[in-house]
Amino acid sequence: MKLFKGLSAEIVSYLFQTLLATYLIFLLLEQILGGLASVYMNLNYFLVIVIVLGVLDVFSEVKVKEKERVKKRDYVFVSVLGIIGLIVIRYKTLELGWLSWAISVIAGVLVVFLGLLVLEDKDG
Amino acid sequence: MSEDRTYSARSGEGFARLVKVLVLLIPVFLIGYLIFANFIASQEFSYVYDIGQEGESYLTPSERISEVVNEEDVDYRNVAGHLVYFDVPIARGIERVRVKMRIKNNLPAGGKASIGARDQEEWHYNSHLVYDPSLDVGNLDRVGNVYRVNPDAGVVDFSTLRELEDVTIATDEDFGLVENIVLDYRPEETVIDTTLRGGHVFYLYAGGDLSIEVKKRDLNWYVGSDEIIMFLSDAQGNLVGFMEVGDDGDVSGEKELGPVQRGNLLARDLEEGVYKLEISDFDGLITEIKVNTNKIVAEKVFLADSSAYRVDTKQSQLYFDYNGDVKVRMITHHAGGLQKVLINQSGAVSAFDFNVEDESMFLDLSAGRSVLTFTKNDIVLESQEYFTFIENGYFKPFKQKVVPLGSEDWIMDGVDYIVTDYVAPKEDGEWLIVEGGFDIVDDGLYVSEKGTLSLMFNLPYLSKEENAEHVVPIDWIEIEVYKPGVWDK
Repeated sequence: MKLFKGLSAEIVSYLFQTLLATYLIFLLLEQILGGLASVYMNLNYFLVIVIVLGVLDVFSEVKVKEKERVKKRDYVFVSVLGIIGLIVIRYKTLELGWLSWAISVIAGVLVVFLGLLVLEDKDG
Repeated sequence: MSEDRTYSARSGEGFARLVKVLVLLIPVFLIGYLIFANFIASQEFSYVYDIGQEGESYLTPSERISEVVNEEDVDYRNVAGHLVYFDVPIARGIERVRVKMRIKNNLPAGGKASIGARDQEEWHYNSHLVYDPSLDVGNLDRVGNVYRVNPDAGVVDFSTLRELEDVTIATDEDFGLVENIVLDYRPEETVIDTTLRGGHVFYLYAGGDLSIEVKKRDLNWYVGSDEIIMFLSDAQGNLVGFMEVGDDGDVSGEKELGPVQRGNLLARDLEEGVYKLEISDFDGLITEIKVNTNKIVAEKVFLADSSAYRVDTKQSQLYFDYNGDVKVRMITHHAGGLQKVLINQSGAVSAFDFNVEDESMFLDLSAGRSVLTFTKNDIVLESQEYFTFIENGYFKPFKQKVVPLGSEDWIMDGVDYIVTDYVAPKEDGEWLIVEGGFDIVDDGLYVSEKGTLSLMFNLPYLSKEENAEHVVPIDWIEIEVYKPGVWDK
């Protein structure tokens, strides 16, 4: 059963992706600088909106896309995500000393590997 | 027909593009709003914690809070312990926090209440009085939060007050003691051989290497070990050394006077200044203190050179040298401690008949040098001012004498100024609305990583056994926080 088709499906999908990315950015900022977002807006209500849109997106028609060639900038993007992950985890585990470095580096490497897996996914 | 289809497809694409731009504006707007709210706008938030609502009580620990009570259309909970806590979210840039509480006006005579805000990562709270019926500052002249109590003193602001000397200040704020520079300080050996009972606090003026040797003897009047711990801290309260002297090996309560035990505390490379020596309370006697500074004073001592403590009774002397009048409180708990106290004021000798047991007696000393001689000792002596054990050992550690607001009446009687943000509670029928405020930066408050500030409601009288059954109803707590904008700073 598809609730949305064509243009409306495209809009719902775009809205969901945009708000999900926004929510994740706010969540990340909240982890780094506590209270930055949560004092001024209730992130739980935001999450409810994102979930509802996600459910609607599931019941929307999906446009079959041709697989794009992986470009150099995609690898750069994955590397940047890995570095950001490393920095955030290092910041949040500062008090653990050398263990903090170990955890951060492993997490950063995992982010990069997962990113590469998605990029190289033959079925994708 | 195909042209129509192409046109329709194009207009559809255009519409989709327009919607995408609008959708993109949502995060742009939200991020802009967060930047504006966090860094640019001045904001005032108000949180109301309805303590009487079912479910969340907001206050912890739960065992000190009752279930919801309904009484004449008011839902509330009872506080049954002297310390309860609650958290408040603190946004970035918030400078001031104001707390209001609606509590039942059922506190007993002498009951006080305060609200504290956590100011260290460890358990430590900066407390402000919010209920003290004895504190009536409404009719006093003031500048800001500095109230003039002594009519002979001038009306001054806070910065002028910090420069005044020889004044006594009562405050519930973190006043920040102003150290004096002592010109006649010499790093020479000083021995105090006056026997003292239990824990004591001394102020010393020292620099370089400070050596403190303490001799103690356990009285063993009560069952348990009788170790002492000596803490040495600077005028800002930073610990610079500590030392422990253990028990004498007798943990019985058979009243066998223990042997002399020694302990040495050596603090190296100290900056010249005022240091506080605290000797923890114990069931025993301090028989000698040897320090390598000629300046050492105290505010309260328990003179114990008395046969009541199985040591020889010998006379002891205390030296006062204050620029104003001084009140001295004395009390003894044994008939053997009743005595004539000799007072030598600039060569004029008089006697004070200390003749009442178990009750405080007060001696007034006029300004200038005074020497008090105690022939029998066994007496607890306390003053608003500092005094010493040796001639020329006196010094004034701080420019002003600072005492806690709400101290006993005889101390408050000698106060020249009160520094407080105390706001008299407003009556609301059978209820009171109490309030207190904090400045996040000036009070050095501790905001957790999660952006919350821990607040504490303190009812000290509930910690006393005789008030164990008493409770204080709380209806609601309102917290106002203020964040200045970029242009308000």
